[in-house]
Amino acid sequence: MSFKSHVYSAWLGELCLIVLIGMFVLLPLNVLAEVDTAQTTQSSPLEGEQKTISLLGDHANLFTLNEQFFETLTRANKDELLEMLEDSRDMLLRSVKDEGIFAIASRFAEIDPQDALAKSLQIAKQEREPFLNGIFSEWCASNLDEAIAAATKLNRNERLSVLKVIVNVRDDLTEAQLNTIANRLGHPDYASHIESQSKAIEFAEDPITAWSVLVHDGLDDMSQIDTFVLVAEALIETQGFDALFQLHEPFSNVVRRVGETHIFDVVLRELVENDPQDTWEYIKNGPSQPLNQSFANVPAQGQNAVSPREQAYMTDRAQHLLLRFWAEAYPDTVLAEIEQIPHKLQPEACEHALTALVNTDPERTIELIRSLSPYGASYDATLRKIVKRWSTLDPSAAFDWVLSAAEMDNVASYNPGRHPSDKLYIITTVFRSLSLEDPKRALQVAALQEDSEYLEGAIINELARADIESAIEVLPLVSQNVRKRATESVAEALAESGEVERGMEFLHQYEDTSGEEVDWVWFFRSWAVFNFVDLFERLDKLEPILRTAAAKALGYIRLPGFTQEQLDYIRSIYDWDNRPI
Amino acid sequence: MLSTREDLSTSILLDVARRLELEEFAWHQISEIQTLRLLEKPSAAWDALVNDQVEDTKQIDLFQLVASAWKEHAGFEILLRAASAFPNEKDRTALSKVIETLVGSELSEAFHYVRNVSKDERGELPSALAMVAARVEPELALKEIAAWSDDPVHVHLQRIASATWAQTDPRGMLNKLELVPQVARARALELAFKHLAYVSPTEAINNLERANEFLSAKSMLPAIIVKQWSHKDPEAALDWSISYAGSNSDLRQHLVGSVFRNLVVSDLDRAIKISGEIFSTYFRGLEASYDVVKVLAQMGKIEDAMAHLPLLDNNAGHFATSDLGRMLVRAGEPYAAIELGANIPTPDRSLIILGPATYFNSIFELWARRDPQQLFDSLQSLTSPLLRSMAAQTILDHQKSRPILSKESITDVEALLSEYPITENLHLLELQLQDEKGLIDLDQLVLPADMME
Repeated sequence: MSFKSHVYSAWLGELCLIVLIGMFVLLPLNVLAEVDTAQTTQSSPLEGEQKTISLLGDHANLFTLNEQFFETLTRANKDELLEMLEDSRDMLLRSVKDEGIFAIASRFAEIDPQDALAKSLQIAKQEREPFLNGIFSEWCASNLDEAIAAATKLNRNERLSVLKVIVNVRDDLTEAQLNTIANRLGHPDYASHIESQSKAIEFAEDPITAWSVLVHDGLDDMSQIDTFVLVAEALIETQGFDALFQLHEPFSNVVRRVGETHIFDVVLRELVENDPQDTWEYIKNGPSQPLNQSFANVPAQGQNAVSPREQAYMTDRAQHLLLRFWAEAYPDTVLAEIEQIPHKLQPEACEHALTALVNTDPERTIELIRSLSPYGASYDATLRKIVKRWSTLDPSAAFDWVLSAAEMDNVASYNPGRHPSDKLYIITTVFRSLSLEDPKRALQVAALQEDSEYLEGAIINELARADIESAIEVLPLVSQNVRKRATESVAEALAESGEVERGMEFLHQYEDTSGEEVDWVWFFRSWAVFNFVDLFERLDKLEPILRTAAAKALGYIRLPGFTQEQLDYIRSIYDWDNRPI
Repeated sequence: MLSTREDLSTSILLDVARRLELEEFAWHQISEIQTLRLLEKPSAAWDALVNDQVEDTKQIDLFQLVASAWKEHAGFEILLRAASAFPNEKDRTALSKVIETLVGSELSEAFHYVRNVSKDERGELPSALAMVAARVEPELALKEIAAWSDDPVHVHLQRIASATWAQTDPRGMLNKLELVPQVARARALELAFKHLAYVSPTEAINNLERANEFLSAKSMLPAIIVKQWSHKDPEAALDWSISYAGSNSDLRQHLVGSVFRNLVVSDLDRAIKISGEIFSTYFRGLEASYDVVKVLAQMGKIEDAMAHLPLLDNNAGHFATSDLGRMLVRAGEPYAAIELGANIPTPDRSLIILGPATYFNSIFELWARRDPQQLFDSLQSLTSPLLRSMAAQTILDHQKSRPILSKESITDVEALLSEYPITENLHLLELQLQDEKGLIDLDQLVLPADMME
């Protein structure tokens, strides 16, 4: 499509919106003033405010009104346009108002873009964006260079708006040209997004490839979330929910960084919220048609035939994926209809729905853990998840329940090859959370438990990272056997938060008073995590024993940011490959 | 309807929206109308936005609008209000977008203001400001942050600003690499190369030599280049890997490994051919032929993956068979999983104690979790006494947490188990099986005390 026809269609598109939505408000102030339209006073939907609006009984006249508006706009001179702009200010709905302002500004720019731009500086802030968009949608078509030169004088946000307009209107420009314009307008980041988006669009007929582009483009995924959702929805529309497998499993090895939101989770949540009925139906009954039949409609896919076994596997994975978010979004429905869910999904349905329910109704959750146990509600994994969520919301209540519940008797106290066991994990979870609310009680009760040393260590560790001063305050309450490790934990937390001097002082003090040697390597490791460059630069100022411990710590963790010369110097102090005996 | 039927009350509009399954959209529109109405009193508009039914992160444009209006009266004080509305780390990007309109043209003044806010009050504000500044004027951002060196937060901000710069303007960042603080440089390079290598491998290669001068890990960036490149053109990425590594075998291993998974997808024969040269990219110590089966399985090609099992050695074969066995259970074919396990290879015992017992235990565990009744009903059809007892043991373990079977059924299960009792210690069971096959002499092994129990 040439840019001219694009502009034309964009123009008509905007006009269409104005006609269909905006006109009834714009026109009473301009064209409709001459039309004999009944007026009435209606109660406003909000706060009982009163507002006079045109009645909508004149729908039959819309086409006539549209024509009149179009004619008025295209004939208007600058003064008349300014008058229309003034009138538009009385409009309440922002979207309608913006569309009106856009159209007026476009016409203004057609007559005199420089003057239109000058006018934009005089109008209210919230009106500027649609006004500028209108100006530049016209201007970038009539004289791009002049438009860009003018846009460089705008502020950053406005420049971004202009850039978006250019990208939308001037689809005749190459990627390289758009990159240059984006750079001139001070938004090189947007150029990158254009590159990725244009590739995603290029593969519009092949959503799996489009998805791959979005996953691997190296850009911030969260800022592209809408495109991710659109691609997923496009795939489901053509190939059914089973195809979600193709968006998940081949990409599931992308490591999840702790604390970061995984993009696929966000997409699934959106899919469920956008279409609760169909997703629920799929969870309960699987696909409505075989996958091969769906793929048959998509020759570009190049997909080999899928065997019934493979389809069954894909369905299973996709059902599990959707169930998790369905149960979190609508826990009551899931729990009420648990019998209608396939057996294979019932334990996970309990796990996710009860975890969601504990947010709002812990008492009922506890009751349901018992009554729904035949469906898997008291599996270890379910209890782990529920307790983890509950303990962040109400640490004391979760703590009391875990220490007294009969359900805990069946939780595994030994899991081959795994430490801590499920039982110790759950108990530690509530002690950790309680430590943030009532550290003294947490330590007192921990001392009475079978794994007291492990629990006391976990409490101090948690507290030190959340509230270092409280951790220091309760340190004397820790049992003697744990005192050294707990002190080291506190010092490490100080180092990780940048208080390295205080951390060192803390450890020296412990050594002086207890006569015990602490493990300096872990302290220096924490320091290196906070700022390895700072530690390196201070190596020579440390006393010999500490210097060796610091070099040992620096050589232990992978730090690609060091130069080879720095690494060689560290190795000259302590070499892990030739460790001293 | 929301645009035109202003005569209708909020509750009626919401009712209509619910019927159209557009309630969230309706709340958004209603909130917008209310906010704009209150715009002359920005603090009230702000409170309305914070307290409405719509997620704050979905109303960034409205927050920006209100904040702009408010800043005219309140100056930078509005930054604190914004910080309290977006208090968590996950909201940092949203907060940065909200404040961008407020600070974008007054970055130095904004840094000065935020530096003087107490730690308790500032929340995510320093981080969000660093992000904005790095997007708008990265060099100024780093300069302002450097001036904050008396506060440990400056190291964190250097990392944020550098990473933001790398993501938003990788080319610009690479051109001025020496300005990026050393503490943040490796991560910034990783981000910049990840994007650049995807859109233009050639451009990334052109930047490689200079960028590598700043790093000790010389293979990090080439590995990123070939991995990103392999998403679009695995063959070209492989050829470049081999050529770049030259006679450096470690580097060649690393680079070819980075390309390998995508090569399996694009050219299975070539992938199989070179799989003997490198190690698995999933499990250290396994041969890369494991990756062939794993990648095929991840693509849902179970049949193809099973057909390649005979190519694998015992170690890789054990793990690959285990993966496929669990997939068969998930496909609703547990009997096929049992059949597949009949010839499962036993890996090198010096590597790890695994074998048939571990395999069947994982199969029965998954089966019992998905459908304990079906597993119970299938007990009698399991002809091997060992498998029958393992299945019975699994049923009993599950019954404790998920009491689904009747007392009579459980009595039957216990009776079956008593016919052929087995230890509950999987490792010991594995060793007993190896002893039975004559692979080891259990009597000669010194076992840990808990195993003997």
